[in-house]
Amino acid sequence: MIRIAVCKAALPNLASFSSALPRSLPRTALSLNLFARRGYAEAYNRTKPHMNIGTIGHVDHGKTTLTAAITKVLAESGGATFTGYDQIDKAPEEKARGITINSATSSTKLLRVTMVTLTVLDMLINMITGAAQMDGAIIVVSATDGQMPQTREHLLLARQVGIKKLVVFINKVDMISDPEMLELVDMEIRDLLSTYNFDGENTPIVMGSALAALDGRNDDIGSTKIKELVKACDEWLELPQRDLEKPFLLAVEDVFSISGRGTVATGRVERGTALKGTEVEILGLGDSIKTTLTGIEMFHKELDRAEAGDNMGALLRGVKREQIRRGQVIIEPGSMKAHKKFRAQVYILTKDEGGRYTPFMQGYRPQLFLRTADVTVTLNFAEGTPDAAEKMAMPGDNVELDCELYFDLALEVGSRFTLREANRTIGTGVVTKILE
Amino acid sequence: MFKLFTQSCAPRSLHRLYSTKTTVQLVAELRKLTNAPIIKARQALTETNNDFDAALKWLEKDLLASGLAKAEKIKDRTASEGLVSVSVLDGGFGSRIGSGVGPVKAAIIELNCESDFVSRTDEFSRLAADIAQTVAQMAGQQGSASNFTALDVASLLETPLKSGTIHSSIMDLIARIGENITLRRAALLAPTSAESKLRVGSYVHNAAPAFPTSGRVGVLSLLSLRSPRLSDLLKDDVFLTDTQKLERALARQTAGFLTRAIREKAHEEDDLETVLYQQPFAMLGGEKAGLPVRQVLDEWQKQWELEEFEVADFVRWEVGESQSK
Repeated sequence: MIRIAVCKAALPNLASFSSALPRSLPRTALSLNLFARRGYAEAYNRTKPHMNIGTIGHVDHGKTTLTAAITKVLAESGGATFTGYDQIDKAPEEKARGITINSATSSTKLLRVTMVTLTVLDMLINMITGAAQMDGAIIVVSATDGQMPQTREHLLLARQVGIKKLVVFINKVDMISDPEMLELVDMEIRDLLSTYNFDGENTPIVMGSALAALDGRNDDIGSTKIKELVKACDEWLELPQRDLEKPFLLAVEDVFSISGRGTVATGRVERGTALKGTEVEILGLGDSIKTTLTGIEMFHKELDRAEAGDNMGALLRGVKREQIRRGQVIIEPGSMKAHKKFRAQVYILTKDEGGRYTPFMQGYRPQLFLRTADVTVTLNFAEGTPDAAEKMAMPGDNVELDCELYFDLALEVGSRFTLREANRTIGTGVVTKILE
Repeated sequence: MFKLFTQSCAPRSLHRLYSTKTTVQLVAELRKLTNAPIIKARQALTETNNDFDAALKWLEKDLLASGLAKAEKIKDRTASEGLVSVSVLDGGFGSRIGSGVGPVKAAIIELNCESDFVSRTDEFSRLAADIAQTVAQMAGQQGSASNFTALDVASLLETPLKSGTIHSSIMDLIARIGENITLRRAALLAPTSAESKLRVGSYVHNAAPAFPTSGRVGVLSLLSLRSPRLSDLLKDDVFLTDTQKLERALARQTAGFLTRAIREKAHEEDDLETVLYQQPFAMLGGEKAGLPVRQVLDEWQKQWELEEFEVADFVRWEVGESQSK
């Protein structure tokens, strides 16, 4: 399944900075749970690849038209319900804009086109919290303008939110009669892609007219090109590794001692699968113990296998109750390491979002919550930040911070956490680099 | 149509077309220099028989015209992103910016665009910084009662900037970027005080490293001090360095907190934290960070035996705040 999110850069009345934020926050606060729950509910199509694609581009370059055109073209093969320009443009919420399409190129894939209205900050927040994570993007560029100064910012942002591969759609080619000019647009965009560490040489660039496709004319630049674009997304963009395929991880919520059986740790399986009898490692908070998973229990039933999304009790061989506690993780041995220092991208919540009303400077020490763990952390601006000693982070800011934990925790690039102070969530972040 | 045209034109330009650079290369070069839309760069070369220099001139002229046309078309689109930019021409008494003896001269402006993608481009940041600097160079009004003078944006647009005016520079950028860009507001700080010595501190939040004077929140804060031994203080490096540090912390404090007033609440319903002197001086750092701002200033005043050390006035602007939401 592929999901396309169209990012509208600050449209009038829809995306004023302040009105966009409160909408996005309830989502962010619940993101981890929502994600997992969704995974559970959609268990029936676990075998189908699911991908989120964002569409990024300048205000007038035709993102909405393109989205409408995709639904229209794919509707002809029965793979979608046609959704007009007005419907997409005026839909108030991201949810209301969701459209699911059967891609014609592959019977196993689905396209879910979602229209979102986001600013740079919103996209970063989504990346940080994991809500509406993008796995790939379509960059829309008008042939009449070519790339513009802000195209650089679009690519920079795509990099920053972790998008590794892009597909480019050069729109409005019917307005340019000279094929050499189109070659120039192609050449320039490939140059620019390479500058920002994308694969400029091999990135698919599709040239067409979204409007022609929408009007049902000039099939050679219209519907044919839309099909080509969808095919390029299918083939070029990479699917993320799914939770089930990742190494096993259970976050310990509680520990019990059951007489006659031994120590049982309960918690949710965040990812992967585990069979009864496999070797596991208990990691974090200063300890690392290797042991064997001798029993899996769910809803008072003994099971042989646990998988991502399950709430389970893990019976551990030869582990005393005092040796394991909340905040640690049970993992496939060696699949993760515990760290104390890391770099992170952090969003500081505003007062309206329940966060701080005052800024903070270097050396601030809130509590860091990661899975079930809760550890004091010292925050500093990322090494190399100019004038770090005089810099402040204000509510509403998105900042790069170097974090130093009081105890080590199992974490890796992409791990998400929240920062709290006096029972108030003041920030949310994602690990971008392990430092120690 | 273009082919017909080139076939009929003079041998010299034909020669130039085929022996030196192709049209595509010329278009590419024009775009590198001007960021003009591809369709315009191509048209410029057609209009000038592929004469690069002439095309460049044609393009510059056309960008202004097409900017005007574009601006008219998109003038109703909401532009609430952008930058607040400050420029300090003379930091006043003992400052390392300007003459070191005053008078204080500084400006603050807000330039808006539609998306924050555009506000992050170099082109937009440069224009914001240029406008702020131009405003700072304007003459202050004689005998003005207030320290800050809000300037009339419409007449400000006609102020010369580069080879044109502020207005033409904005139109030019609209043509290249294609978004509605507006100069929202501008204020000039050019105070006169007979009794006290004045200094200005500035802070800009979320500035890009290449453009340190433009960001999301901008503050100019005016400090006044009086002392019987001014000339000694002016020579005292410790005093000057520490004052500068304190002044920066004050500007940062004003920006970081939602500061609305100095001594008393500006409005009855405001929080106490909006009053600068009552705020804990968190942005000072160190052990005094928990004390109220005024108490820190009192101690400072005593330490250097000053007769007065006050925040006389300030301006705190945040991008988009002045527009109805």
